[in-house]
Formats: sequence, structure tokens, C-alpha cells
Amino acid sequence: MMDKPPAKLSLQQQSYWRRNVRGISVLLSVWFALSFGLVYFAREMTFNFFGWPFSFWLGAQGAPLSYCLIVAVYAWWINRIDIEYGVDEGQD
Amino acid sequence: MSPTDPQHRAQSDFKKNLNRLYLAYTAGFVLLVFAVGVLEHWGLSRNGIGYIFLAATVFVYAGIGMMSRTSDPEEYYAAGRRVPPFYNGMATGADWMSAASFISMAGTLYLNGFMGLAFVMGWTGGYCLVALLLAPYLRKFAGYTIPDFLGARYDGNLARTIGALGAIVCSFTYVVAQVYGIGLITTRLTGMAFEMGIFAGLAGILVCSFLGACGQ
Repeated sequence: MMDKPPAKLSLQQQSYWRRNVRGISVLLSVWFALSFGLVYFAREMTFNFFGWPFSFWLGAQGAPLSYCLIVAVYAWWINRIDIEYGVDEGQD
Repeated sequence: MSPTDPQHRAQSDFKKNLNRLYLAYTAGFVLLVFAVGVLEHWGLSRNGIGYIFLAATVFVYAGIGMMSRTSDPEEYYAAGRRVPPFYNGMATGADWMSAASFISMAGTLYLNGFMGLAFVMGWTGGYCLVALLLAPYLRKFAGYTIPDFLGARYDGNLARTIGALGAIVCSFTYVVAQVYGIGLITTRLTGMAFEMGIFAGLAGILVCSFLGACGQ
């Protein structure tokens, strides 16, 4: 990774970072399953969903909405962690 | 920050002023649409409407540029980092609704049907990667560009070069679509030839961004 040895991190910073990385991994797994897993089976998922074939609805609305949701969940969640560790920027 | 310290008060004044400006802008826009509608009812031609909208847009942008002109890069690129999150969100949304989204996206879907949805998923899905992996750190880093950030984070010019190449490839494709869209819109609205329309549109953008950047 880096040539220079990284600056010593405090235990609290390490724990913050571990939780951050874990959260990102969970959300990106959902993201990956949605973008590359489900799409692979698009041809099979032709059942009716509010009048559209499900795979079509997923590409047009379902996936973009889920992406927005992923970003929103991350923002909400990391804000809480920031407050817990006292590194939040406050509301402005 | 306590509510009484001067920095907090300045920020709250700034926000109040911003609210007023946005409200005035929205009211102005609604009035313009209404006025153009009335003029159309009285027999204004389609070209006339086009000229009015184009001129109004350029004047408004030029006005905003002059009102907030600055020679400080921090002010120019990031508005001094004082813009409240809600307004930043609206700005991101407005960026999204570009010529590329309105014209090219509709065209792609019309042309390719189902396969065109790959673009919808692609750029919305890409936004997740930016929001989760880059944006928070870019913000803390207080730089302006992703290559700058990558260069500092991975300590070298290799990462910076890869980032810059990625940025160039992305923006080139995007700007080609965007400039073509500007040409089409200008041509549609004013009835100019397409070649002239592109230059007129680009000149408008250039003037507006320069007006915001001239020294005080």
C-alpha cells in the first residue's frame, strides 16, 4: 500500500475505521448482488410487477431507487457513528 | 459551536440570505414562465420564446457569477465550503438533470430499449461507489479533484495519473454528449444553424464562468 509507515492510529481510530469498513462492505455487497447478481437472471424474472415485467422495472426504477437508499442508509449510519466517536461536524 | 459565537452567527446569516435568494429565484422563474405563457397567448412566435428563455438563462447565470465573483479558489470551486447540505444536494440534483440526461438518455432508451437501462443502472450505481468510497474522504481532504486526493492518499504520481486518466475518459464522453446537447438546444430555441448554435451555447457558458472568476 503506502511506502511510508502510516502514522500510529489510536485504538479508537482503529475501531472507528473497522466499523466504517464493515458497514461499507455490507452495503457494497448489497450493491453488488443487485447490480451484477440479479441482472444476470434478468431473462428469467419476467413475472408481472405492477404491470411491468419485473426485470424491466428493476432496471428502470428498482435499482436506481435501491442505490439512492444505499447512499441514504450509509449517510444516516455513518453520521451516528461519527457522533458516537465524537468526530461529527454538527448540523448546519 | 455555541449559538452565540461569531462564526456560527455568520453561518446562520449566510443561510438566511441563501434562503432568501433561492426563494427570490424560484419566484422569478415562476413569473418568467407565466409571463412567457401570457406572451405566447398573445401570439409570440416559438422562436421568440426560445430567444427569451436563452437570454434569460444566460443573464441569470451571468448575474449569479457577478454577484458571487471571487479570486479565491476555495470560494470558486467549493463556495467557501459554507453551503448547507440541503442546497448542495439540490445542486447535485441539478447537475444530474443535464442535456445528457434529458436528451441523450431519452434517445438511448428510445433507440436501444431494454439495453439502454444499462446506462440508468450504470451511472446511478456508480454514484454509490463515489458516495461510499470517495466522497467522504475527498471532503475531509479538502481538495477539489479526485486525482489530487488519490495522489495524496497513495502517495505518488501513479495513482494520480490513473485517476486523471479516468477523469479525462469519463468527462470526454460526457462533455461530447453535453456539448452536442447544447448545440441542439440552442438550435431548437433560436433557429440558428447547428454549427453556430454550438458556439453560441459554449460562449454563453464561458462568459458565465469567467464572470464568476474575475479578480475583485
